[in-house]
Amino acid sequence: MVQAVDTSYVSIAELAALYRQRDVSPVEVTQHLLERAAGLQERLHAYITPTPELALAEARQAEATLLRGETAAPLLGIPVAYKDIVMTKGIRTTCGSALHLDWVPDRDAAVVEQWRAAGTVMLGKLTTWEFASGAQALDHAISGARNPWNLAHSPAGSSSGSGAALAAGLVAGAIGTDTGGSIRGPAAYCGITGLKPTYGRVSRRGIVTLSWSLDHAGPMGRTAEDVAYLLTPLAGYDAADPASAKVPAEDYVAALRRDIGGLRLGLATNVLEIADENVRQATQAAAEVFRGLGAVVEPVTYPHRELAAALRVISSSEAYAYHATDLAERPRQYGRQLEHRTKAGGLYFASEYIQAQRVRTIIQRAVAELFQHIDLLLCPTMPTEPPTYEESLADAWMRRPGITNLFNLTGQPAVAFPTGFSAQALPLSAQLVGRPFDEATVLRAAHLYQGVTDWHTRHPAL
Amino acid sequence: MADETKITPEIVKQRAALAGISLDEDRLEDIATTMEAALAPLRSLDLRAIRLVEPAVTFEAAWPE
Repeated sequence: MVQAVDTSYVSIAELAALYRQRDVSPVEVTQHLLERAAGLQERLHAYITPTPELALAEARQAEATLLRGETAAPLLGIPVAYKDIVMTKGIRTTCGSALHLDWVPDRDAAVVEQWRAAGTVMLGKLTTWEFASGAQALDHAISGARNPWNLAHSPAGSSSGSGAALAAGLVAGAIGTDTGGSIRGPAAYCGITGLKPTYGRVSRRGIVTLSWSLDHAGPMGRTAEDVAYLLTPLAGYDAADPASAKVPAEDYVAALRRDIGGLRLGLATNVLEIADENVRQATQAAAEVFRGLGAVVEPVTYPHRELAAALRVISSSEAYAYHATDLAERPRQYGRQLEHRTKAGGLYFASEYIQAQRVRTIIQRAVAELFQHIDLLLCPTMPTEPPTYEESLADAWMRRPGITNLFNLTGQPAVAFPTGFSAQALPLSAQLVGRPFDEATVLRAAHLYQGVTDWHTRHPAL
Repeated sequence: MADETKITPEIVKQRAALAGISLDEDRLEDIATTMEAALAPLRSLDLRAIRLVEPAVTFEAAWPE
C-alpha cells in the first residue's frame, strides 16, 4: 500500500502527532509495515514469527481509542516487536533454537504486558541468536538476520532481528536483551540506538534466561528520544523478577529536556585503544561534539579492564546450569558452537565461579570511585565495523575482547548510538555509560548529541 | 592431575571427564583457549589482599512477595 506519508522511519513522537491529526491511522501504518517486512524477509530474516492478525486487531483497537479522542498515551498505536526469547502467550517462542521450534508459552513476559498496556501494536517475534548466545551458523534451523546496510555483513547479536528490523524501517521499537552486549552490539552494527538499562531496572519476568546475574532487558529504537518513550512504561519494580530493583523510575521523555552544560564526561582511553582506528576516530569526534554542547570532557582510565574477561566464567557457568539437561539429552539440537561453548560452562570449578563474582565486586567498587569524578563515560560500542557474516562465525572472532560486557559486569546503564560510517558505508557507534539507575542522564546526553548530528537519520537503501 | 596453571586441551578433557560432559575432540582447542582467557583474571588475584571482598551474587532473606 502507498501512504501519503511514508511512515517506515518516522519517530514515535511524529507518528503520535500524525495519529492525532488523523493524517494516518494505526491500521494503515500496521498494514504498511507488515507488507514492508514481508517484502524484505527473504533478504533480511528479521522476523522468526510475524503476527499480522494480532497486529491488525491491536491496530484497530488503537484506532478506535484515537477516534474516541483518547490521545494521551504516547505509545498508542506504535508498532513494536519482540526478540524471540521473550515469552508471548499463545504465540510460539523459539529462542532461535531447534529445541523450541514449536514452543507456545502460556503467559506473556512483563515487557509484553507493559508495552501492550501502553497501547503498542505487536507486529511479531524477531530473530535472535540461539538462546541469545551463539551466532546462527549458515546451516542452522533458523536463519540468522542480516545487516540491512549490507546483507553480506553481520548485524551482530544476539538481538539481531531487533537491530535489523529497526534499521530497515519495519518497526518503531523493539525489545532486546543484553548479557554481554546483545542490545548494544546490534544497535552499533545496524546504526540504531539501543539502551541496556541498569541491572534490575526492567523486569526479565518471562524472558528465557541466559545468565541470571548478567541478563538485562531493554528497549531499542532509532533515536534516544524514541528509546526514552519506549523505556518509560518498562521501568519499575517487579516482585516476580528476583533481580528487580526497588528504585523509583521516572518519565524519561521529560528528562530529555534539560541541557548537559557542565556535565563531566570521561573518555575511556584504555578502552579506545582496543578499537580499530575508524571507530576510535568516530568516538573522539563524538567527544568533541559533547564538548561543544557544554560538557567537560577529560581522558580517564577504565579500572581493571583486564579483569573483565572473567565475565565468561560467570555467563558460561550460569548458562550451563540452565541448559545442562538438554545438553546431555539432546546436544545435537544445539548449534555446534553453542553446544560446546555452553558445555564449557560445566568445566569451571565452583571456586572459580565465586572468584569471578568477587572480581566483579572489585571492578564495581573501582568504577564507583571513577564516577566520583565524572558523570558519564564515553567509549566505543564495538571495537570494529560490522564484519562479514562468515567472519562473525569464526571461533577467533567470538573470542575477541569485548567492550560492551564491561557494563554487564557493573550493571550500569549504557546506550549505544550511531557516530558515523566506515569507508565501506557501514555504521560506527559509541556508548555512553552512567551511574546505576541514571538512565535519564545517559539518554539526555545521547539525545542532545543527536540534536546536532545526523548519523541517526540515515537509512540503508533496501 | 596435570598442572592447572594453564588450560590445555588435555586439562579440558580431564575437567570434562570429572564433570561427566562429552566434548568433540576438534572443539577442545577452542574451549581451552576460551577458558584460559576467562580464568587469567582470577589467577592474577592476590586472595589475601581481597579478604573482605564478597562475591557479587547475594542471597535475599526476605521471602518472595
